[in-house]
Amino acid sequence: MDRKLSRQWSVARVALILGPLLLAPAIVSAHGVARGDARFLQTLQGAAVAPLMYLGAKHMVTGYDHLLFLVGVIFFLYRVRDVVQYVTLFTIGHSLTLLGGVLGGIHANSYIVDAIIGLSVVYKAFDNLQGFQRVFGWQPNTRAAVLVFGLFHGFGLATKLQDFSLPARGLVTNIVSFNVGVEIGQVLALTAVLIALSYWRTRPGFLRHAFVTNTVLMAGGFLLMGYQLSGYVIAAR
Amino acid sequence: MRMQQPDLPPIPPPSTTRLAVATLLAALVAAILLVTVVLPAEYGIDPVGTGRALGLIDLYAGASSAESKGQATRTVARVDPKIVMPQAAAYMTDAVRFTLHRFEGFEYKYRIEKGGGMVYSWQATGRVKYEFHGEPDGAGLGVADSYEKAENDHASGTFTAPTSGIHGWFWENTGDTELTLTLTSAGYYSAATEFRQKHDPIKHKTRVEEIPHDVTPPSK
Repeated sequence: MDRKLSRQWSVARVALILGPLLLAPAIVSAHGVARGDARFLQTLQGAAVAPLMYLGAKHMVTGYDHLLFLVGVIFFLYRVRDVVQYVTLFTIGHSLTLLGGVLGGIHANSYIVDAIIGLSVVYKAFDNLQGFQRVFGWQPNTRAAVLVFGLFHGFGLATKLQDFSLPARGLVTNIVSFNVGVEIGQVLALTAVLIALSYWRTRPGFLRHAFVTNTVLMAGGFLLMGYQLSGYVIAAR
Repeated sequence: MRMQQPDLPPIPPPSTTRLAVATLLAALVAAILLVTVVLPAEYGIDPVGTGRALGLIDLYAGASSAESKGQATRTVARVDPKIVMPQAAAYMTDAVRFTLHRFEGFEYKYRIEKGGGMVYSWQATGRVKYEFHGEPDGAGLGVADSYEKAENDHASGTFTAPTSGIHGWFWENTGDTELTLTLTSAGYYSAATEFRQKHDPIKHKTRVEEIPHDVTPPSK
């Protein structure tokens, strides 16, 4: 295969991998809990383990903001041990604030929280571009960053659940079920992303496209920020 | 899952210029997409007109329309009412008050024959999304003609039925405070029905409950 053809193939691969990410907002339903699910939550009477687990998993698999962040986090992680470590930190972070936020009745503004989640995508993409090393000559602790942003992602999950006044009866069961569902969804989504990434890494074009990919990732983060911040301004009017 | 790729040699950080260009480009692309696509589709704000040109604005207007209920909507040919249109049906009036819980939507429709008219006015204690639409007789289950689709806290007007069938509103409270909605109307309709989705906790399904309402002839 001559070089030109091989380059075309590489471009096709980038499109294959990034296409779904870019189209995600169009395909995936609105990021809040979908309308029909919302009605279900409104009429809920007590503990409902399976439905809440399903909703948690669905939220994670179709929640492109969490997915974009995770793609950024594992982009340069080559060892399974590292992937497990970072994802565990992210899980600890978001579980803490999901459980604490809902049980403690902490009401964060969902637009601001979701804008910070957008910022987390921008941060991670900039980090992957080695922007911190270049601009500040210093690399912030990547594990700490994942944990801290995990906390914000958890607040995002909490606000989604708080939009609906879940009944006090069975509240803990329902939140824990939702949380377990989130982790199941995360494992499913991560598996898909890891398969795609590890295949891509064996290709010669990976490093060349890594820069472009992380720039696109950053654009996605900026877009999420803009989307949420304008929502904040509109809602405040 | 096992990954056996060796660690790749560290790549040198990109030049400051390259980094700045990438960051600015990312922000620029995001800003363009936000203004041209996301704002029209998500919030109905269309600063450069791309939402209207690409039809994205309908996503916002249609978010709570009949389409979201799985109905096929059609646009209707306008009927031009004559100045005086004699009516065969009995003259009726109606005044109803509804409570709209948070995130709740429901429908209220009148039975009107083709050419039948009514005047109506409704007010809500907050903004609601609504769609004034009709379901013509024999058009098949779930087929609706859309007359007006918007978001407001009131609307009033006159209506001439383009088809025989049930004609009325879908209202939806998209906010998280409870609202009250009052509707008064007078015209040549024979019945009114309220349609509410009820969740059946045993069957884990939602079904539409039909609640008949009385319409009354005007008191002498």
